[in-house]
Amino acid sequence: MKRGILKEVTIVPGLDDSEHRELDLTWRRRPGFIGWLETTNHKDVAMRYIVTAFVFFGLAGILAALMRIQLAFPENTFIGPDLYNQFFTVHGTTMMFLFAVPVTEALGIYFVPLMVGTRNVAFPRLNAFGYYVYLAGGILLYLGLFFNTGPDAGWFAYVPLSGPQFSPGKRVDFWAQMITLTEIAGLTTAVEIIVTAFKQRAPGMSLNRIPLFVWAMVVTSFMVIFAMPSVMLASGYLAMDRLAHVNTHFFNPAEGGDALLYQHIFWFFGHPEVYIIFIPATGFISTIVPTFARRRIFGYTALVLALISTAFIGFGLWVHHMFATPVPELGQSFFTAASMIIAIPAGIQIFCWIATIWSGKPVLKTPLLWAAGFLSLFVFGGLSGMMLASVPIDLQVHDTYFVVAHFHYVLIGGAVFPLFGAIYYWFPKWTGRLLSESLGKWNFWLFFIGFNLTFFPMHQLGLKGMTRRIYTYVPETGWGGLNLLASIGAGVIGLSVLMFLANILWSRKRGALAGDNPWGASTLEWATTSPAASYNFLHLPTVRGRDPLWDQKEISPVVTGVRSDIREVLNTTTLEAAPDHRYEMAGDSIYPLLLAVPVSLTFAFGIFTPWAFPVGALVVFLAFFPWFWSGTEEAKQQRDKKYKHRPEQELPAPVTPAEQVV
Amino acid sequence: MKTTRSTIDVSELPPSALDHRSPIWIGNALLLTIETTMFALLVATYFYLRQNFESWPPPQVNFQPPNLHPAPGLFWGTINLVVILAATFFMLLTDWAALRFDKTKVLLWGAFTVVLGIVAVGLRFPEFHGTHFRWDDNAYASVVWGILVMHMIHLLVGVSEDLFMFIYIAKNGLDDKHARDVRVTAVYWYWIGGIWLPLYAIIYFGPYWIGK
Repeated sequence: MKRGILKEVTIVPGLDDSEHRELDLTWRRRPGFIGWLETTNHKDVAMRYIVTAFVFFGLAGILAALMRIQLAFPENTFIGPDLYNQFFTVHGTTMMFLFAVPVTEALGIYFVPLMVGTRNVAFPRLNAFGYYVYLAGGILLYLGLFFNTGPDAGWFAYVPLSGPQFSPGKRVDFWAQMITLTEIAGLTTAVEIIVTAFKQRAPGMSLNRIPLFVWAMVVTSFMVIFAMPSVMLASGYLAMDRLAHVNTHFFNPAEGGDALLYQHIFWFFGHPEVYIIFIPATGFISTIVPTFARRRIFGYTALVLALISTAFIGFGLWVHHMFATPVPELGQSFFTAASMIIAIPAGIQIFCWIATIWSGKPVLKTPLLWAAGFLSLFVFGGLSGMMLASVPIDLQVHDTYFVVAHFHYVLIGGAVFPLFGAIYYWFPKWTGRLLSESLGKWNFWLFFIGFNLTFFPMHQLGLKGMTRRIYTYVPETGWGGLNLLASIGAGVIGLSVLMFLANILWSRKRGALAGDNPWGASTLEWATTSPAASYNFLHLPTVRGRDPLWDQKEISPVVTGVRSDIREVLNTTTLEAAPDHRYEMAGDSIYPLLLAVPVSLTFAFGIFTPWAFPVGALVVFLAFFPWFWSGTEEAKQQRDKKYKHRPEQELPAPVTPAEQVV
Repeated sequence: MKTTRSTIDVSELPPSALDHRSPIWIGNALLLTIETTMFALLVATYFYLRQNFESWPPPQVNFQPPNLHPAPGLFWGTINLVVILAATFFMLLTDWAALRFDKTKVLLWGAFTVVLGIVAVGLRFPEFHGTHFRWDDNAYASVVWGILVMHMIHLLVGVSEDLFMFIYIAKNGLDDKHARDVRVTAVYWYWIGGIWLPLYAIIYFGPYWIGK
C-alpha cells in the first residue's frame, strides 16, 4: 500500500510565500461579524470556550465570596437561607459543569491539533456547535439565578429533596436542562479530540510517541464518553419525574421508584468526573515539568499506564460517595479498596514528576511554580482522600466541612493550579507575548497562601462538627474564629485572581515579545509561529521521537501534496501514524449556530412544557437539512468565486513571526 | 544555506477512505458508544427497579378481571422486531452497493430501508399500547416506556438522516464522500438493529424470566 513518497526537492525562493497565501485564503475566516459567528477554526472555538469558562469561574467565585462573607461571623444576616441555597448550588454547578470540564477540554481543542501536527480538529462544525450549546446551558443557569429561580438542591441535586414533592417550582429544572446542554457539548468535544488524536497525527508520531498532554486528553475523552451519558440520564429522569403531564416515577418510592437509584447513576458519572477534571491537569504538568526541568520526562510509559489505569479504576469508586446509605458490607469493602488503589497510579505520576525535576536543571519560571504548588496541595488533598475512603472515618465526617476541605484541595490544588500554570505556559502561543513574571509570582503566592488560609481551617471545622451547606451558626459552637480566617483567605484568593486578570489584560498588548518557542519546549505546537496562523503549519511536520523539537538536529522531512486550495489534512494510521489518505474538512458555516439555537430552546422550553420536545425535534430536523446539504463543494465554489473577484494585491500579507526577544 | 528539502509527497494517496480508516467512521462509532452506554444504564435501571416490586410487572388489580401478570404483548413487538431487522438487512445491501458505487442499487435498497424504518416507528405505537400501562402509572411503566421511546428516537434520527442522504445522492450523484457517508450510516443501522435484540429480549421476556 502507498504510504507517500520520500523525495529530495529543491527549495524555490518565494514558493513558501505563495503557499502561505494560498493556505491563508483557504483557512482563515471571513471578515466581519458573520464570519466571526461562522468560524470553525479550532483555535477560535477553543479561545471562546476558555474565555467563557473563565467568565463563569469569575461568577462562581463571586458567589463563593458572598457565601464567605455570610459565614465570616456567627448569626450573620448578610444572605438569607433561601438565597444561600441557590448560591452554593450554582457555585458548585458552575465550577464543575461550566468551568472545570469545559476549560480543560478547550485547552485540548486548542492544543491537540497543534501538538499532533494538523490543521484543525476532525469535525470542525460539530466543535462550533458544541460551544454554542455550552454557552446556552450557562446562560440558562444564570438566567434562572437572576430571576430568583436558581437551583437550590446542591450541585448533585439528590432526590427526594430535588423531586417534585420537596422542590416545587422550576428551580431544579433549570439545573437539569443546563446539565443536558453542557454535557452535549462535553461529549462532542470528547469525540473530536479522540478522532483528531487517533487519525490526524504527523507521520512518525506513533502511539508511543504521542505527547503526554495528548494522551491525557484522549484518556479523559474516553472517560467522558462513558461517564457523561450517565448524568444526562440522571438529570433526564429527574426532569421527566418533575415535568407536569409527564410525571414518570423513576425516583418516586410510592410507585416503585427508588431514590438511591439516583445516587447510583449520578455518582457513576460524578466520581469519574473528578478524574475527568484531574487527568487533563496531569497533562499540563507533564508538559510543563520537562520543559522547565530541561530534560525528557522521566517514566513516559509508566505515566501513560498510570493515566489509563486511573481511568479504569475511576469507574469503580462511585459508591464511596454513598457510604452513609445502606450499601452491603461487601460492597463497602470493595469500594474502600478501589478508592485506596487509585492512590497507586496517582503516586506513580507524582514520583515521575519529582524524578524529572530532581534529575533535571529546573528553571523556576511561573508555570513551574504553579506545578510545584500543585504537587504539594494535591498530595495533601490525596491524603485526606485516603482518610475518607475508610468507611468509619467517612461516616464521622460525612457532609461536614472536612469533605468540603478535601475536595477543594484536590480540585483547586489538583486542577486549578495546573490550569493557571498552563495559562502562563501557553499564553505566548496565543498572543506572541509573555505574561509578566513578577505579577505572576504575586498571583501564585497570594493564591497559594489564600487557598491554604481558606481551606485548611475547614478540616478542623469539619472535625468540630460544622456541616456543609448551613447558612449560619450560633456563637456557642466556637466555629467563629476559623470561619473568619477562611473568609479572610477567600479575600486573598480574590485579590490574586484580580492580579491574574490584570496580568492578562496588561500583557496582551504590552508583555515582552515571546518569539516562536519562548520556553525552548519540545512539542510540536511550538514548531510554528506564535500566535499560530489560521492553518497552523505551513508544511505539515513529521516527527522522529517523543520530543520532536529536541530530537531533530537537522531539518526533518515535511509533508507535501496535501491540497492547499481546499481544507484538506492528512490522515495517518492509528498505531504507527503512517500516511494513509487525505481528508477534506467542512469549512466555516453558520449552520452550527442555527442548529444550536433550536436545540437550546427545546431544552429551555422543556422546563415548562413537554410539547417543547416534539415541536423542538421538528425544528431541529429542519435545521439539520441545510447543514447536511451545505457540503464541502459549496465551500470550494465560494472560494473559486473569491479568487476571481480578488486582485492579487488585496491578498493579506504573510504573518511574520513575532520578533525574537534579545 | 541548504538548497534542498526532503519531503514526503502524499499527493498520490486517495482523497478519502471508505471504511474504518475514515475519521467520520470512527466519530460515528464513538457516538454509538455513547448511545450504547445510555441504553446500558437504562437496562441497569430496569433491573434495579425490579427490586422494588413483588411481581414484575406489577398486577393490575383495579381491572375486572384483574390482570395479575400484565407482560407486554408479544404480537406487535415481535412484528416490529422483524421489521427493524429487515430494515437493517436492506441497509446492508445498500452498504454493499455503495462499496461498488452503484447509485441505482443504493437508492433502491436505501428506499426499502427508509420505508421499513418509517413503518417501524409507526409500529412502536401499538407496542406502547401493548405495555398495558401508561408511562406515569408506576416505575416499571416509566422505564419500559423510557427504553421504547429512546429507541424510537434513534429510529427517527436514522430514518431522517437516510432520507436526507438519499435525496442528496439522487440529485447530485454518488461520489467518494457520499459513498463513505452511506457506509457510515449503515453502521448506525447495524447498531440500531443490533441493540434492539437485547432490548427486545429484556422488555418482552424479562417479565417471564425475573417476573415472580
